[in-house]
Amino acid sequence: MSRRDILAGLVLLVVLLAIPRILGGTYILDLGVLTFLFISQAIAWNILGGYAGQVSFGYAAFFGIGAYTTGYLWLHGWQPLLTLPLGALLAAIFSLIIGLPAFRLTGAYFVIATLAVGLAMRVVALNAEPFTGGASGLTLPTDVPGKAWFYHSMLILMSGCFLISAWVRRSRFGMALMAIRLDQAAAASLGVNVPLYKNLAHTLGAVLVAIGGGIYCVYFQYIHPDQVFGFEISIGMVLMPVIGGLGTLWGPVLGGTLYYAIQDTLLTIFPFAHLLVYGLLLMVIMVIEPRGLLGFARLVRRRRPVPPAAGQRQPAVAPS
Amino acid sequence: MAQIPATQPVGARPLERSQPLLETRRLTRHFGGLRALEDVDLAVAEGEILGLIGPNGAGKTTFFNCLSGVLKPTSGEIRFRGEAVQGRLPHQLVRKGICHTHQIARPFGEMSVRENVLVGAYFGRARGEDAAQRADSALATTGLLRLAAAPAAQLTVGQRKLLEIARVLAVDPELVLLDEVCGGLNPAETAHVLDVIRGLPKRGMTVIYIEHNMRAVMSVSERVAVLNFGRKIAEGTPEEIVRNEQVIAAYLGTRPAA
Repeated sequence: MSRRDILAGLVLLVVLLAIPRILGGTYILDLGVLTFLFISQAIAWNILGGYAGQVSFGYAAFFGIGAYTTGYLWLHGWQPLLTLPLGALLAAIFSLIIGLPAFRLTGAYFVIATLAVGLAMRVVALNAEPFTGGASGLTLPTDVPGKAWFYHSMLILMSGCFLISAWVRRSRFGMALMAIRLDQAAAASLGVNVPLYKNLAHTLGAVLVAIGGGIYCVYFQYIHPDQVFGFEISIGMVLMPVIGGLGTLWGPVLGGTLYYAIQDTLLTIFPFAHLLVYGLLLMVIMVIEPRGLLGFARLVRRRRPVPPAAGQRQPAVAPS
Repeated sequence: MAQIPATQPVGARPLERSQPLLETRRLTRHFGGLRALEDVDLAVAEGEILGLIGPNGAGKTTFFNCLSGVLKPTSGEIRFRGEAVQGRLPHQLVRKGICHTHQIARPFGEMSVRENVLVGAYFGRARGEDAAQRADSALATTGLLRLAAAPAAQLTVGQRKLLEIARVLAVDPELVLLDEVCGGLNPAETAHVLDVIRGLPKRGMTVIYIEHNMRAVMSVSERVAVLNFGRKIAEGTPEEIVRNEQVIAAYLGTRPAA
């Protein structure tokens, strides 16, 4: 994390803490809760999908596991907050069960395997009625803290995800992930234990997503397999980093903000229009700038001659 | 002309003196019906530079891929310091001390030259000990230090080959497998790379070196082995190899009848 990243992060944090105090009202709190949740998911997914380049369409499984662990135990008298570590643990175990065989596959085959797992988990959950409530879902207790509490909880989760992501990027771990993304065979030939680091990234992301699922369950007080194991959750986690900037620190933050803003604005007016907008966004990004909106920003900035800052890494791709 | 028996060590330095660093026994690799390697016995002593030559498709790179764990041998044995290591994964063999370069250089294009070398230093045999220092030393040895901050994607072919060598140096292996590191280089670059290779035994490294450029092989190798159609057809000093009829027929071309 550069000094500029730290400064930007702190300013953003202060602004986000101030917003509900200045504007007031529950709408802004609800908007905050879900935006922070989406961003934290995007950041968590980006560790495997962005840094290591392993695109998974199965992350809804971990969101659902986190949500259902909390929901089920909450109904059985547990304190919801105390169930979060357990949900994270179960997600971690499940991520290894999936990851150990799936990472024997590469490229499109890995993507397809994760897609299958993600889709299968919803069906499994629909049929595991004693645990999940099946097609009627789980209706949960209503004695929950106020919206401000959730706003701040999700803000903490998002900040935590951001710090972890920033640390990974700078660490030896992050270097291994980047080497894997750029050339897996070359990475292995230099001693990088490719399956180990892929699994670590996969599990770290799963843990963070599951914690988000647990908090979401308490916030919403109702969970249903179609919703927490839904394909929209998985695809959202892929779209957000891609829109913002895959494999970057701030890309998922930007992408997550836009993603939820678009959905929230359009969903109520035109029920399916948000999918259309995502589709268009994706096409534009893939064609013009595969590095997402942050890539656009860099392109625009490079139009003006800027002296490279000291210690700043040079752009990897020559200006076009 | 006397033919050199393939299995008998030649020259003034008998290999039996001590245990070889690496030894293959009847190493075989088939791709379906294609016998890319067939019963190859080869040994390399510690501190040696062994040249490996042969026509295109002779099985040289397949041989390397078996040694480095990229491919599993169909049968046969690979012994490194006496321990059977066939079938292990590349990163496990790196930890044991075997590291290879790629015939077509594979830099991490989005990383800087220095970061490329740091990957080797962090994950290689020494597991990150003095990583930065070893990376800089590897860059200095290969002459890439002035390009350390440049993106690897911007390197020329010659510089990419040097980067392959620099990364291997940073890994600090005991056995280095160099696959045509002079291919596509101009004479000045070739001379530089050959100098680096000659210096490797002084750093405690043993080298097996695949090369097409006969002059290059002859100038750095004490011993040369020749593969043809997956079999070892000769082994000996460079002088013996260039006079070997079988090698001339297989590799350099048939001598005119006159």
